[in-house]
Amino acid sequence: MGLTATIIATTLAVLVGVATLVAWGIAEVSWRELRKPPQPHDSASHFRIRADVWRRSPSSVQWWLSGGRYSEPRTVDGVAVGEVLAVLDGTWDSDGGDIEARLRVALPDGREVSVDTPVHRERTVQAGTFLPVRPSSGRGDDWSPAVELDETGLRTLLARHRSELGLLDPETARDLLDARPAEVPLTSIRPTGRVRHGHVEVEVTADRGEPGPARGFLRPQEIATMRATGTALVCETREGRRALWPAWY
Amino acid sequence: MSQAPPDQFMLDVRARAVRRVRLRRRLALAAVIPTIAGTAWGMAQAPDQRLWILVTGLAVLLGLGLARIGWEPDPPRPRPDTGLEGAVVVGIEPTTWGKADGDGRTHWVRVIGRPLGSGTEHLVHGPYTFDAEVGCTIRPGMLFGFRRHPTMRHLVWIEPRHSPDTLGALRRDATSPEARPEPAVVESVGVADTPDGDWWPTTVTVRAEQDGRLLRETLPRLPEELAAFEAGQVVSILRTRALGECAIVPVTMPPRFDLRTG
Repeated sequence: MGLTATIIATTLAVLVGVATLVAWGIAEVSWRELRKPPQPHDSASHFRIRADVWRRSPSSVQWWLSGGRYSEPRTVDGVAVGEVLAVLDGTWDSDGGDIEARLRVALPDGREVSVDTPVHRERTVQAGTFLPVRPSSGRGDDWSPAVELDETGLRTLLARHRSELGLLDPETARDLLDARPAEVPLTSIRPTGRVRHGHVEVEVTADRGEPGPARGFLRPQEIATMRATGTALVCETREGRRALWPAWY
Repeated sequence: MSQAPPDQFMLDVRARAVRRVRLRRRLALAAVIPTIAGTAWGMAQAPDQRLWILVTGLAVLLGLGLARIGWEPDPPRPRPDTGLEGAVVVGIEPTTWGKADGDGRTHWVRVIGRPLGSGTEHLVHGPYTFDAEVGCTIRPGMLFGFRRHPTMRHLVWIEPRHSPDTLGALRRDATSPEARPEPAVVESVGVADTPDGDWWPTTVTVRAEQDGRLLRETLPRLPEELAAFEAGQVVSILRTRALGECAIVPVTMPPRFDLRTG
């Protein structure tokens, strides 16, 4: 057996050996899992995940989409806020990683474009959400999520967008630029009757001991998340008014 | 929401899966010793080729390991014979993505709903399909029909089609069979101060496009449902015998993409 054949065979033996150990390990773990009693799905987990993402938004587009941080966030020009119209075909990574999703996005000028992007939090990226996008460099009509945008720029962009749609009054939009949310236990969610752009204005009353009610426009799934978790995210404006923490995206 | 215990259907499915995997596991383990012995014997018989024989032996072991890994989807629950109920969509969880099955177009979601008139804790959920090429058109606030599995509290059978008339009749008096749907434009939404749990008496005022008359409908609704009533939004209404009142045809979930059971 020559030297080359020996090297190839040794390499193959190591690779196949490692793969064998991994395969038997996975099989054993799966077997142990299978022997545990089955647990019916609990919808509460869906709302807990949504509430966690909401609490930590806006952070960055990269984090919101996939849970990871962009290495060098910066100021980015030419970013527009699109609206996700549909989440189309995606490829599921069987290892539990990102999903290569295709989103149909409406741009502010009325055009509809296709945006291919990895998504990890498939619960958050749904039709109706606002997605900061920018033209991909030198590729005509290709757009991609503005993952490089820093948090200050992101807050400014999304707060302005919400303000333009009438979902935030200008003062609250300004105060949100450096606000942090506080989590409060809630007792009631009362709709005011105002509806804008798929958002319903609600007034949230917190438990005794908390200051007065807080208002804000929320999507139906955000209202359901508040109710299911029994908590609301509230922030205080500079004038001392209380406002509901927006879902940003 | 409290975690419901598994019912007999789930326990039987799991027991069958354990039996199937146990058999595969025993067969694989039984083949390990002969494979190792055969590889050692071969390496002893042909020292010049021992590395290749080792690779072959390891490959067989890899194959045995892979044969032990197998996942099969749970079989669908049979459609229960319990009564039809209505619920409002409050959450949508994707459970499979593209190329999830043979036709490559069907995606699965778990639809979470709040049964009409129910308390905060009484959410239900069930599987549903949509077309991957169109995207999920189910929206929170839509109505859907479901039937409860007799032995499960939260997991429900979601009807494959959702008749607005049938679901509308679950929450208000049936309208006259002669009434025909007609378009109207939402003018305003008013909310009373006396909720029944999470359900607020809401009065939606609409202007009929046909004759310009203002009509209204008052129903207990979740705040989530009001997203469909933005001023200027076109809705479909049915006229009722009461003067100045109407029944707004509810927006229901689209039909299930395929007709498999789930």
